[in-house]
Amino acid sequence: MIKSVLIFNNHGKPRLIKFYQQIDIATQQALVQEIYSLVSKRPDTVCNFLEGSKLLGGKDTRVIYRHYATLYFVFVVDESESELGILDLIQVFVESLDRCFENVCELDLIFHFDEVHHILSEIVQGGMVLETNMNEIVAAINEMNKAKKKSGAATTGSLSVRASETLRAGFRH
Amino acid sequence: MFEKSLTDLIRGIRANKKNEQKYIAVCLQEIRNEVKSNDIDVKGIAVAKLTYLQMLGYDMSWASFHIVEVMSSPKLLHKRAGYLAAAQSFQQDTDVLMLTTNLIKKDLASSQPLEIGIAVNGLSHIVTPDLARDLCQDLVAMLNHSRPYIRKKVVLVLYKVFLKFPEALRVSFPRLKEKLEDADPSVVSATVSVICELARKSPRNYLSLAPQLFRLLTTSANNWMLIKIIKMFASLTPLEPRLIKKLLPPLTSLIQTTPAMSLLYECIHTVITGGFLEAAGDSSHALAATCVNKLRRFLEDPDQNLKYVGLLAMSRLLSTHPKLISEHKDIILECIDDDDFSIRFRALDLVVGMANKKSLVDIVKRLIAHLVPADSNGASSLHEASSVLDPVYRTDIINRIVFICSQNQYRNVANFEWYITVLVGLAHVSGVSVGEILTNQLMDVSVRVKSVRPFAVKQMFRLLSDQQLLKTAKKRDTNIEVLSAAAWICGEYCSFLDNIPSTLECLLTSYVVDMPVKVQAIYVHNIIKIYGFWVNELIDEWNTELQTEFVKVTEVIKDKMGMFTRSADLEVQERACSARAIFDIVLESISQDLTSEQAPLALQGLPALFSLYELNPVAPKAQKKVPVPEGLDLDAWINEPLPDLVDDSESEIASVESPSFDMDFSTTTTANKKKKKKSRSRKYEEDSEDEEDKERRRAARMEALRNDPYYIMSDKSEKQKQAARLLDLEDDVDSIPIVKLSVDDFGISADNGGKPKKHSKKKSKGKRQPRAPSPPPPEYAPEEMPEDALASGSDQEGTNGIGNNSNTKRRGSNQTYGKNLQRKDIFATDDDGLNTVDLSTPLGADERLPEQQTYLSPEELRRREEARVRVERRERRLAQSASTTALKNDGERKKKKKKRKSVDESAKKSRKSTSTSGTKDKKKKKKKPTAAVESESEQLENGYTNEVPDMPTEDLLKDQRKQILPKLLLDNDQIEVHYQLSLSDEKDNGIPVIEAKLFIKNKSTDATLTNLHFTTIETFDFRYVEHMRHSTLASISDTFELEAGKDVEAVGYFAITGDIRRGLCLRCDLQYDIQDSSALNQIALEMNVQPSVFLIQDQPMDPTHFAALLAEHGQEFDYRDSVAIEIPISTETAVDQMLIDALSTITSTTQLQVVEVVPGAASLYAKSIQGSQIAGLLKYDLTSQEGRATITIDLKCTDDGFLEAFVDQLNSINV
Repeated sequence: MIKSVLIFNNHGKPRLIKFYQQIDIATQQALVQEIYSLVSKRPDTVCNFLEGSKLLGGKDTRVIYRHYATLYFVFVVDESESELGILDLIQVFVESLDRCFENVCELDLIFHFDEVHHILSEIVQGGMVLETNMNEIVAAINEMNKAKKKSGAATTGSLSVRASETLRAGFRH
Repeated sequence: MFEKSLTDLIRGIRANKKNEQKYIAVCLQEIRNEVKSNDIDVKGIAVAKLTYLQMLGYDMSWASFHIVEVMSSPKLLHKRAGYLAAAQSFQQDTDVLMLTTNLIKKDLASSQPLEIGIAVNGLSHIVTPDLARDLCQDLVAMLNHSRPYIRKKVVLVLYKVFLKFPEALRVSFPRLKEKLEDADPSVVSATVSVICELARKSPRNYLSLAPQLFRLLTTSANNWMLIKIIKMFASLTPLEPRLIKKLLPPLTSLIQTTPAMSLLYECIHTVITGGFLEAAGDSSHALAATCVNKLRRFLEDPDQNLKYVGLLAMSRLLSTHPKLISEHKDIILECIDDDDFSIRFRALDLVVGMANKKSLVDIVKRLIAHLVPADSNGASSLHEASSVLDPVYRTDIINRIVFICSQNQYRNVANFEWYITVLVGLAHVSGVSVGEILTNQLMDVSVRVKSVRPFAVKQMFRLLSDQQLLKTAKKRDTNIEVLSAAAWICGEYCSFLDNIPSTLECLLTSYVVDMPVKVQAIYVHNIIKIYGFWVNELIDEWNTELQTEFVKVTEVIKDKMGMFTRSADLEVQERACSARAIFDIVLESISQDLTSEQAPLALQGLPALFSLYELNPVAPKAQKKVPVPEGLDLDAWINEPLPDLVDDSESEIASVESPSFDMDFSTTTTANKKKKKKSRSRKYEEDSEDEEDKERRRAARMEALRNDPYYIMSDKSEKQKQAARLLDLEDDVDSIPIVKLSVDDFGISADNGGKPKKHSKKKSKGKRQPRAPSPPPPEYAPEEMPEDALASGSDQEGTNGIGNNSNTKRRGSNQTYGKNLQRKDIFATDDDGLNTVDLSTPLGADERLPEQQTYLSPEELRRREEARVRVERRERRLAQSASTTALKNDGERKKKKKKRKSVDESAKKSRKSTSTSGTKDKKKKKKKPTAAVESESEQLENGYTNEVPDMPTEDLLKDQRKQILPKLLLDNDQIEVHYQLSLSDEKDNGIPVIEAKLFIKNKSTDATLTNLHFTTIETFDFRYVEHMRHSTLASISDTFELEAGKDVEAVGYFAITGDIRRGLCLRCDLQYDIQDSSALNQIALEMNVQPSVFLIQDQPMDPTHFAALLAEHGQEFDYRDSVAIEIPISTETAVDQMLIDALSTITSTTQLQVVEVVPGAASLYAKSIQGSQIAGLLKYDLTSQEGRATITIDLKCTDDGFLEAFVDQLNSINV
């Protein structure tokens, strides 16, 4: 089982917090900090597996992460998951983000944290892997976007779409 | 009003980095207003903003209700935001979750797949036991949804549902299983994930799926799923070893062909851990070699991740194929110096197992290099300072060094001087507190290895005089304990000391008082030991000059000893005082004879106190060699074993504790020998409580266990566990008063305790063969064996000694990377319920998912309504035809009963008479009833066809329910009292109250009864409640005056304070005077309280509720009983009418509710005011006896006493 999926940046600012068990908010924050402190001091040359600290549930819990540019993508899993498999899964996740946002960067994740949640939910649901095929994932996201445009056209929901576009434009220069 | 959008909020936070909190506080206030807005758009955005802030650590639990509102929005975007907010913030105890059942149900039934997807995903986060129960039926139905997108999501959410509502698993598993054959690969993959997760908990349940999984394994190309399947097979193979043969070809081909490293790794891992190598037979070695070679590719890969897992897999293989692993020593040793700590530790695990005589020095050197700080040694800059200083890491490294060297009784150490140097070096550079382990090692080596003693003593002297080390005494990471080993070795082997006075000086420096008291005690003792040896040397060359010098030194020592006598520690103080007393004796004896050329006699006795015998280690096989004394039955229990001894749960804990046991073992062998030696020169009886004796007894117990037929000690690890278990209980067992077994009983006779052992004899046994390699072979101290050891103890048996192979190995591995078995972490899932689900038995017909109560589709409602009406109609029809006369009114019933009885009797009589006289009548008469019975029974056997006598309808039963006739309590010449008990509507301080109505009648024709009153008696079960009064009736506490022929009704209230059980009664005394009579009338009365009184009659139980209740709380109905009631079948009344009468009698007297009536049977239910529940199934049997029908009632109840009372009441029913 996947226990948690986290994205935070190099400074430990959370960009996505997803726990697949119901954990109170204070503990969530403590866990993110703990994992950040564990992960951030590791140079990029070392392996991407960590045995969980005491707070994380000890040896049976493993922290598997990848570091892309300014962001850490962290999966906390139990012993039933394959470490290498999870690494591949992180890759799938990031590539899906990239396809959905076109050249994803940290700002995309900041301003579209709900989108990120949704993309994740098409890959992992309730701690179990739903889909590993990127085409399927992207197709599901596109379908949602279409439906959103249809229903959101008349509402203030379009605000966020517009905002993202301007941001993206500003970001390109 | 201009609300901020989510983007505005995020932008604002980024713009206000300086005063972020302030800004957010303002925003939160806005959000608080916005969520209350009537505009769903505003509300939706507010919730989305809240969810963002929640990520930053701001609580949003206060908004739960608004989240549910947003979840129910028809707009997709809001719905998504609402479900996301719920998933992120709801906890199991969030109260609004109750409101979501219908909402989610609606969303699940949506025509839009996206909406369904959102709902299913949300549900997987927020599911509670209630939601799981209410929704599982919908979800299972959705397994056949036309869109694979929905199917795969539903499959996954079902696992979460099972976790919360394990009952659903059994029922829906067949449907889930079908999904393994789904046309869509994603659905299959999701199903495999769920089944894998389930199989981890209880693999046995899923063995039957092996063929399907195997098919997937050989046909699918989805790596993720293949990994899952292979992992699952790894947990199935231990249960079904035949699987291995089948799996070997596909796995081998995958290993050889797959380009995906993750899949390759998983295959290799499963081959190693799943017992494939053992089962592969001849090809086993080739297979293992293939695996290792593939793993080597992992280690060579620049990807650190592959290195890591490669090492991990190799370490799994190490125990079975050490040779194969050591072929790759080169690359593994490289990994030790890897920058990555995770990799380093994994490599260390391997190295520990790979060390041998040749590689030991090299490996230890590499390990020590990790400890040396970078600045003091420029070359070792490859390790960053932070890691070198990490105490956990350092402790680990040191433990590994010690373990590598000491394993297998130091088999790998060729040069012990080198080892002593290493240990001393560690004491200096460790930087962490590892004094204990170093101390043990130093002492152990010096005792065992004779040839290293001179070197050891020199090194120890240097340690003692090391000022730097002394100064660390107060530090946290000190290794000052090592000095206790130093002092002891110097004292024990003081003949090798170069300079005794300076050694004594070192032992008496003022720093010593800063040391731990344990060390101080050893110091004091060894000072006197060394002094004794020194005296011995001086005796030969005694002269006056020497004597004055000697007195001076002695006085100085005695003086310095003063600092120990002031120690707060009793041990140190006592030893110091004894030492001073000895010095006093010495000084006194010298002062008496100042000019003697001869040493005083007192001095000559001194050395004998300490060094009469040499201390030697116990041979590993010593215990085995001890012959069993005659008459000692080792198989017999001295005391019955404690139950814990065979408790498996103990073993887990015990095995964790075992390392400490082993470590202790090695210390006690040396430390205790000392004691033993001393005491042996005195008396044996004294040391019966000696540690060693305990050790022996423990060993003896283990021996007994091994011979015990009820113990299976198949392998060594088991033995180890046993030993640890015994150790666990050591205190208990040893505190049991048993016949004291002194050492003599074990064959070491006291008479040979007086002379030194002959050790050379044992040496020739070859247990410790001199080593061949180039450094001078170390000379080992002879190991001690009991004198009359069995001559021919077979050597291969002797593997359970002190330092035997497997023991040491376990010791080391447990100690260095002993794992905390406690699994109480925040990520732990509560899956106990799932583990108990048994899928091996086929589904019963009555097993189905719980009916939904909350939300029914219109069609379903209509269908049910029709069914209900149909049943009702039929019942009414039957009731009409059957009982036109029955149950007209209650007053008549009694009479009727009597009448029927008399009819019965007369029928019997007539039958009797006819049987004796002519047979014609008999035939005629009997024909009718038997025919009826026969047709009846036929129908019963035919599976309750429709025309079986039906039970009376509920309406009929309801009418009679409340009516219970008053019972007779007292009937004498003057007075007649009836009573009627019922449950009062009111309660007394929360305690249920019984209302007792008394009907008192003056029977006499002329006399008036005066001063009539009741005195209630308080018992454990009932308490009279005075303040409760009936509005219209008199209270029984009143005093009455009854004229002739008059009657009165009084009421009293009794709180029920006891439990319901058989034979409960209310007690009171009745007193009255008869006018114009002086007779004193006092009568004790008892009102039987039947359990039916306590039953609540508030609402009828409907069949679906009843089924759900039994399904969910069935296990609470713990107590069962059965009652059989016989009813005579008279010729007059139709059989079905009799049965209806019988049932109505039963229900009216016991107040049981009829839940459901089916042909031939009825289910009954009742609940008492105390909460006890009783459920019954009533059945007819018309066949057992002619002319009689039997009604059996099987009862299940939640309360023992209640059931007993109930059965009692049922038995008393006279139908």
